[in-house]
Amino acid sequence: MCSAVNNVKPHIRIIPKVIYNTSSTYFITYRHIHKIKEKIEMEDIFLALGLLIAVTISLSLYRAVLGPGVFNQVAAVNVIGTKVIVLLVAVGYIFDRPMFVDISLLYAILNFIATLVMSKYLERGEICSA
Amino acid sequence: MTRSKEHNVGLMLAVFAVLYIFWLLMSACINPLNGHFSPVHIIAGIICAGVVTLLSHDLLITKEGEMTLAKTFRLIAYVPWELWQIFLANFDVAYRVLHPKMPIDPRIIEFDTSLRSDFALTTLANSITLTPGTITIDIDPGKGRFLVHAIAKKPADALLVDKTMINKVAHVYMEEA
Amino acid sequence: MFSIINIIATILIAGGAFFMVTGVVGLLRFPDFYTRLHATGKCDTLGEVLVIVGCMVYQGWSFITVKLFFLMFFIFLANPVGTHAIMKAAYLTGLKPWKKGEERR
Repeated sequence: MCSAVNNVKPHIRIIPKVIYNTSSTYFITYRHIHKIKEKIEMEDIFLALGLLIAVTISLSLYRAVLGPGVFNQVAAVNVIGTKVIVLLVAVGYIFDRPMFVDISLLYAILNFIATLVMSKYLERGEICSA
Repeated sequence: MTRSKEHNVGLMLAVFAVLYIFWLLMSACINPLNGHFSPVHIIAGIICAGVVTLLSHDLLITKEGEMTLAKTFRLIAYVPWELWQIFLANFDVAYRVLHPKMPIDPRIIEFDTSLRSDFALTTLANSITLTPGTITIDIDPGKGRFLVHAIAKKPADALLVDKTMINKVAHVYMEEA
Repeated sequence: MFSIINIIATILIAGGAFFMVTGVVGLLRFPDFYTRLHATGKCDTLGEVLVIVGCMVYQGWSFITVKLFFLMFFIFLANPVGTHAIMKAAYLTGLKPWKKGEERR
């Protein structure tokens, strides 16, 4: 594997692509992007989607930090959480790892419960009334 | 919801079957190397589904409603219209967001319905939130009263005067509009 | 060469990305809390569901498609409920809605 990496001419290395090998160990190879790209693959579209979601998340960080009042902040955090779900799915397709879909399912449930708990706390001043 | 002590065996078996099928669907591609459905996952699924069934078998399926099958079919027939309304709502919001002058005129409206059951109220509240220009703020379940925030005059009139959605939801859950 | 499946998936993903960007622009641009939730509650739901449907089309028939379907179903149920919960909390604590002609806040 090392020789395979060393033989490569100095192209631009971008994404470490993780391959799940049959001997149940992880090998890391590198995908090379040539100067003139011959064709667009589906992974590039998922990469563009991930970058776009990252930009939208950093835009909504403005409301999450500076938003007037705590409710704007909670709403912005909810928006960031739901965007992270889709970002996890896209990352799973970029790295060829199907487990990211499970992680995004868990993250969806956690984000929903966090939103409900925050809004109930702000509404009543306590989470669980005895 | 009252939790009865008597153990209904048929109900528990149904809940166990649903949970176990869900487990198999979820665990099928955890480890693609050992083949789908490795014995470890199958046995762990039986244990987990059994424990969850013993603890909470009376929460998933309740025997409150009648004519559940007919209501389910009517709900499935209601879904395509709802999806079309969601598309319209998104183009409406996108128009209001991207328009340079932002044509919004927010207001709060209030109206009564004759719906009483939990599922009907939840469906109507979610539908109002997802359809053009309106979001549910509060529900009074005893009177069937809805408090709705509308973004302009036109969606508020569509909800108050037209009443298409309320009639459709009442038709789905067989309650008089 | 893009196959037809990939083209359909790309169109769905592009539509979803457009709606997500629109939702964030509305979150930054609308004048008060309630109208901002109008933008996020609708545009985010449809945008994410469109992206996930695009992934389902790209994936074809497998168990991952089933998981993506459950994810889509959960987003459809949970996103309006979360929006409604925050809005009810804000209304009951006395946050006044913005009227036309007032200053933005």
